[in-house]
Amino acid sequence: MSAAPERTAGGREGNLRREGDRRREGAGGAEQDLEDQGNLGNGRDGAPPTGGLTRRGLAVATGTAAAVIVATTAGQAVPALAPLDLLAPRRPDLGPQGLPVNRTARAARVAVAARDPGYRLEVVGTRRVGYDLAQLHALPSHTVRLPITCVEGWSADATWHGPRLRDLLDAALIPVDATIRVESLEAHGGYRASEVRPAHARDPLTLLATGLNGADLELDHGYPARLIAPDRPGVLQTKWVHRVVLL
Amino acid sequence: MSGDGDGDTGARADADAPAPAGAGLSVGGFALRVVLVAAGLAALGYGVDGLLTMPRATRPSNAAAWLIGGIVVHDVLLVPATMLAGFTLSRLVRAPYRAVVQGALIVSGAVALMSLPLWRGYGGSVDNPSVNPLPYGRNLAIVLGAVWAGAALLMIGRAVRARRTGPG
Amino acid sequence: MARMLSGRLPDPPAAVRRGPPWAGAFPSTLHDQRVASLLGIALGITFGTCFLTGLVSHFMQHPPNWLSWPSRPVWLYRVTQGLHVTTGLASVPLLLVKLWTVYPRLWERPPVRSVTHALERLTLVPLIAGSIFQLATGIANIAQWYRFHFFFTVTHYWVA
Repeated sequence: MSAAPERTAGGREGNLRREGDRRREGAGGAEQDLEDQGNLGNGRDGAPPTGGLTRRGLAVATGTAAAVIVATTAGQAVPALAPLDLLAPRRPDLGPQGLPVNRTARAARVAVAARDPGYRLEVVGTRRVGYDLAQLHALPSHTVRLPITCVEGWSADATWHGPRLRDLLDAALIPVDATIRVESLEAHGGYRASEVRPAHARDPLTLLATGLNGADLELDHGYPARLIAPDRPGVLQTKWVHRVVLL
Repeated sequence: MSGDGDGDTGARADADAPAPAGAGLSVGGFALRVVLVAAGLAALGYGVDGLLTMPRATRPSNAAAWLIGGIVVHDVLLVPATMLAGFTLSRLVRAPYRAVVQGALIVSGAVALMSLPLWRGYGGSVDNPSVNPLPYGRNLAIVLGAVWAGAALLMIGRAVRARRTGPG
Repeated sequence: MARMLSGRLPDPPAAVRRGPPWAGAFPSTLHDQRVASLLGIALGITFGTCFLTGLVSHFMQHPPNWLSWPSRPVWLYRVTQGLHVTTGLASVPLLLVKLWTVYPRLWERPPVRSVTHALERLTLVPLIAGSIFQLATGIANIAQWYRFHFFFTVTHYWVA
């Protein structure tokens, strides 16, 4: 439908609005009710008088809707907007140890295996190196501050503690340009293992974390050890790690 | 999403083109159109092929049901409901305020729809309280309250302005 | 070829020649080309961003051999994935209002004017179905509401 000619002719906003008001008073029948009476758009965009929203009004309302949605959900990823995070599926600070969990140990069916005191971490390169829990915790520990980002859109900063992955790789004589696979205790599922290429495997910020925010990792965050690397999707930050192998 | 990049540029352009195809296109325009259409169809074919070659993961029949279901729900449910709401509004709310009410309804509807699984309590799992952890019913009420408070302010502004202009 | 495609189909009977099902069925002036194209631009930006960041996410998770993602900046994936979900959610009102503005054209008479016109209308079906599908299943997925039986990420990619 095209703009009504008398509206496109121009004129100052005030005049148009008063004219609109007068028309409104006179509007009686249903037909006119629907066709008449412009506002919100003020006729600036040449909007024809309508029963309600003008085109500009519609654009403003739609833009407002998008803005309200962004404002009330973006807080799940943007720390500054966290107080407004009212309608997002996650809150970056809600979860065990102040961090959300995507997949629990129970859902991954590793709760028993991960708690086993006989747990051993194996790093298999040219040499095979094994660590029990005590040895794992005796390794030189580093602390890094890295965000974890889930493919579902939420992300949160956290402080991670544990040995550097590259130190473990060196101990097993894994070459610096090698791609490795990090394997979880999970028996099944598409995310039970992930490949780590050299850029991430050799990054000094990449840890096989055993601690989170000043305490031991909780089961749902990947106890006894999990991968945490910079700039990597959450599903590939493998939890409940028990093997690292050279590919 | 939805094959944007190379894919539906052609289709999107078509959707926005004021004139139906064929009417007085230059040779260049026609060639461009052919290229865009070909690119769009290629992307479509690539996607459909992908969907069909990984049936274990994509469950083509279920995916098709969701694809068609979405469009049916929109055209048969959402649009008539919106029309009905618009019609009702045109009878119930006087003109200077109707636009504001309509605008507020658009915002409310969009916000409620995008957060529907949350305030309806769908999704999540009992052993993971960090998924959907908030009181979403209350939060939706707060957000919609703010939206309608804004709308009320706008309407008051309009009423004041109308009074100042005087009846006429 | 061009002539054949753009040739007009024979005129249909006068009864179905014009307009929506009945006169004045779509009285709102908001079913309007200019609003539609304005929303189209906005939607192009949000969907475009959403699509590109979605590709980033897909190829980060399934990198081909020639592609190695950097480990810096450490927040890169945080930004792209945050944008992906946020622009997707913001697209909800944009898409719905956009569809609303063009809805009368669904009832356009005659339904098809030429072969190209018919093809054009036909190709819009998967486009619109795909758009609604991606938004609806995306919203369900981030709430971990698995009502669909397909594997989300794979299907999400192929539909895109």
